[in-house]
Amino acid sequence: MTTLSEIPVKMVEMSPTGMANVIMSELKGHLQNLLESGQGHSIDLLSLPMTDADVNELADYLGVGEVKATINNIGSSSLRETAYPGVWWVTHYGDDNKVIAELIEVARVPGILVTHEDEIRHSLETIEQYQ
Amino acid sequence: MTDLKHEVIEETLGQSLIKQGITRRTFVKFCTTVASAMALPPAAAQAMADTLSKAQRQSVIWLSFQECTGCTESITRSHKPSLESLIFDFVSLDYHHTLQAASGEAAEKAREQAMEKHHGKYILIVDGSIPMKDGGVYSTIAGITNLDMLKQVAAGAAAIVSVGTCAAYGGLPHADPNPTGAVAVSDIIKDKPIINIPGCPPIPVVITGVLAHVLTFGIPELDEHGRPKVFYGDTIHDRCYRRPFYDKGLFAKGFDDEGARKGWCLYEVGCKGPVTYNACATTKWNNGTSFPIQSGHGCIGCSEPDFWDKGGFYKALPQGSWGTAEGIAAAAAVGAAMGIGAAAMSKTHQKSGDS
Repeated sequence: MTTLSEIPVKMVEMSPTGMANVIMSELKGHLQNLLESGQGHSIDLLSLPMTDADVNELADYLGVGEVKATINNIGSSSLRETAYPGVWWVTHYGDDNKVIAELIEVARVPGILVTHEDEIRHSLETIEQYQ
Repeated sequence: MTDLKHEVIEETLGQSLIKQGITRRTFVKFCTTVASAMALPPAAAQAMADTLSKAQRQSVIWLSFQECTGCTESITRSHKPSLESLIFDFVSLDYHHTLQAASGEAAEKAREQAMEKHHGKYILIVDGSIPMKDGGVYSTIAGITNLDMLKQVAAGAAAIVSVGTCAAYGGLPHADPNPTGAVAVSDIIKDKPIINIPGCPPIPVVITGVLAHVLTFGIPELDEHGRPKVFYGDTIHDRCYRRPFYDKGLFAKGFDDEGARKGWCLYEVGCKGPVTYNACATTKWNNGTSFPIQSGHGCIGCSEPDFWDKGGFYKALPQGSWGTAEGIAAAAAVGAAMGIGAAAMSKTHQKSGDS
């Protein structure tokens, strides 16, 4: 009788499906919209049926720009402007360093980087204690 | 010494989070991952963060009935981000068998106090089915039958969330021969809004996402089985990465043949993906690692009513009882279109809303 460990496993590399090209086309519309209305948009990569090869192909197409930001909270978040200014690759990690969200964000600056008014107010209240 | 009079003002969630050192960005990250899981636009994540931060903590009572605790295990493994530090910080979890510190009479007292203080406003979450046979004696808490406790607590609830297939549809206890007379929450409570989050167990982020949606935007749009369409709007088949193989007619015939090794479609070894609505194919399990089909096993349809009694996990769809025999037989006669018929029928079923 063949045991489980004796069954040979053959890993088959899946080639890109063309999803990366679809996303690049979609980005054109969002960049146009950003210019005209100032409204940004995010594409959630995890909700799309993308293979690893598709994600790698998209990363090749988009390249790497000049800005990189890291947010350290429960897990970390990595934000990188691609070679196309206004197109950002945003990766959120959980506290176990696994990816929990991955988005392509079209924006002047990714929304999460902008400091919220509540926290500025909290800073003001805290700093006043030093006077 | 002056006796100071002070008023206890319940702080907002936003104020509470800042004090706990949970930054706005962490909060936004939580809302972003939940919103993206619900296919909501980015503006919704921001709206979610704004609305929740200004609100006071919602009282939640969680009743566990005839269940295996798998649903609680699922939600405490949530990774978007760690549940203990966030979703249960967004609500006031006033009663939960597994997570509460209190026990015995103190625990029941906490439940009664929450019910009185927040009457008409608390959210009731239920996991597990409710046994009805022999006066409901097969599952009791503090000497009270599940049936009586459900009716008592539901009376003052603003809405009810049935977590897991047991609470939503009766689940495993309801399976033939159903010795305890197990039924779903919706079989007993008829006068409150009920959201079903089925699954055996449900995907963690689905549970937290629906709760976050309820807290922020209210009850999401539900399908004819009471499931939020944002998570249960597509079948597994609709979003399955093995779909190209199905479309080309490439099927694994067994679990150790060449097709299985090459990752071909599992339709012929019993996959119920075409008729099962859930988010497994996109959201996946275990920190987004995988889901049954990706691991080489067909979907067992665990978010559908009566999935235990549908003809067997390893029998391909036309052989079971997942649709009309005529419809499936007609589709089966068309060779490679065999599964497309069942899947198309299922899709029409979902869109038109007829049962």
